[in-house]
Amino acid sequence: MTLLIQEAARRGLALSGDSIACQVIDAHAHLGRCPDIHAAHGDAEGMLASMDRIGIRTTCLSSFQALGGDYRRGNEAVADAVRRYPGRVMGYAVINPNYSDDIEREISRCLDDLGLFAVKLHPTYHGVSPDAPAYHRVYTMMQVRRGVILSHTFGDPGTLERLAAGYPDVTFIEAHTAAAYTPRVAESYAVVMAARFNIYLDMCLSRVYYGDLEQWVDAVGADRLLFGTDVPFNDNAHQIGRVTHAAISEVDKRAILGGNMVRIMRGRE
Amino acid sequence: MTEPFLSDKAAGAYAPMQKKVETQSSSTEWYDAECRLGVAKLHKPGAPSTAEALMTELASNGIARALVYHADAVGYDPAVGNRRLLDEIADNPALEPCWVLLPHHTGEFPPPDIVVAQMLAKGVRAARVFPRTFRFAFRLWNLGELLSALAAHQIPLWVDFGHDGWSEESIDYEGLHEVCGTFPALPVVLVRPNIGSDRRVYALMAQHPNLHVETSYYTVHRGIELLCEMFGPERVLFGTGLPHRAAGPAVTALAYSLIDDAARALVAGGNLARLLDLAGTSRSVSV
Repeated sequence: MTLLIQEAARRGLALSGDSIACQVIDAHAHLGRCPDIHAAHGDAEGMLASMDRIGIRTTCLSSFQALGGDYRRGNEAVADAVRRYPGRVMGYAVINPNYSDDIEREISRCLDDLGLFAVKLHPTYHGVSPDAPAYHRVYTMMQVRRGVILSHTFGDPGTLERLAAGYPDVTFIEAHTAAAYTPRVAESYAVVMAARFNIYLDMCLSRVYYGDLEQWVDAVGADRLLFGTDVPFNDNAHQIGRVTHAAISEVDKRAILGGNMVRIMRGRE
Repeated sequence: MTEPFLSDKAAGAYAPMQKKVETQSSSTEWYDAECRLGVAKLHKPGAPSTAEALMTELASNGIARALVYHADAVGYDPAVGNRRLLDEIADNPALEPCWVLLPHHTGEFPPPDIVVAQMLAKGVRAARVFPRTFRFAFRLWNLGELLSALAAHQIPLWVDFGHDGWSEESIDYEGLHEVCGTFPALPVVLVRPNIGSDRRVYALMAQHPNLHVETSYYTVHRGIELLCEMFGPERVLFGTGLPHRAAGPAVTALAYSLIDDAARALVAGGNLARLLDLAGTSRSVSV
């Protein structure tokens, strides 16, 4: 018998199980510890235990150490997790624009040698505008590679549109945006995303307000939204409920939970 | 490139490593410890504000019952909101009333012994305070008499510092330390601790067995599991934050928590029922 996704989740059944067979991919996660939160299970094994419980097939993660400390060491830790858990863990390479001399070298090292699949940027954390020259060097390199970039932010929708137009072979994933809904913000992104098909929004955020995902689906379409958790910054078991219990169709849930990320990856092959 | 998550082989190569847990039994009754009724200043389209709509929303999330306070009791006047609450849930035994209280010094609210007598007479078995919203201190010099009256009857107290998002710094941890230590018979429920709270909440939980936490905004990775391991599942109460928040994440956070079925049942509703029973029998409901 096939269960509805919400019912399976309410009963605590793994979404990957036979009863539901949903391919769930967490597009936004981290590895390790973060100074201002309690992340007792931020190692790969701690993450995988909760992934198995929920039925998350793959988690795409970047390193907290790479974001807040030694980016090279952090990227290597992610590579180690990718090597040990192939298929379950995919890695983002964090590029710190404040070490400008190392940008191209670190991208090559991570994507060509360490087995990471995409780039993660955090302009807010690193104190550099997403429109700064250092970041344009990242975009240029990823354009050649037809790569994927997840960023905490690419700035306002207008900046994102310029980037998406200027680097059309890059897939831009704007983090956190499709979480809390306001009509003005959603309308701005809807206009940009209707013109630029290389933009996706992820929805991880600790706060989950009533009806927000439903309104984002109405605004930009379920095929442009990606399930992400920010785990272990947030609980993946909490964030999955944003989708499983939303008042949207089963088809839309499956697209958001994993189908869209699969399409992004296939498009790069 | 490789296609790790497109291939069944990749998943098959992985040996599951999770702790053995059971999915929830069908007998688990979900009882929402964090729910509001009525029209509020902030409203999301479609969100329930009547008792009937709230029950429908709860049921759609598999939740049988809820402890509710009234939006007017926090957004306007506790006395008005508390009266409206009893009127609006009068025919609904699945909704349990929680009164919002104020200190009595200004004369806006009756003296504590009168308030508690009114609560018990009307079958109100839970209280809630909003120290930030109503601008009083969650300290003994401001609330001591009221807390003493509640403690005498073991009426559990929900403490809401009005925080949302990353504003959990507004939680008065010093006040919680003082109150919980002074009134060990008073069950205290801290509403909406979050990812930034643990280093202080754990210390408080370790020192004060009467402190409980509510889960609607508790998004710590595997956090419910950790709280249950450290302090016992009896100290954790499931809540949704409806209608401001979506219920789904709170439900899945508990449903997928790596705890056993007995612990899950306590968090889902057993603990709330137990705390309310401390304060007396349920109100009589005309149906």
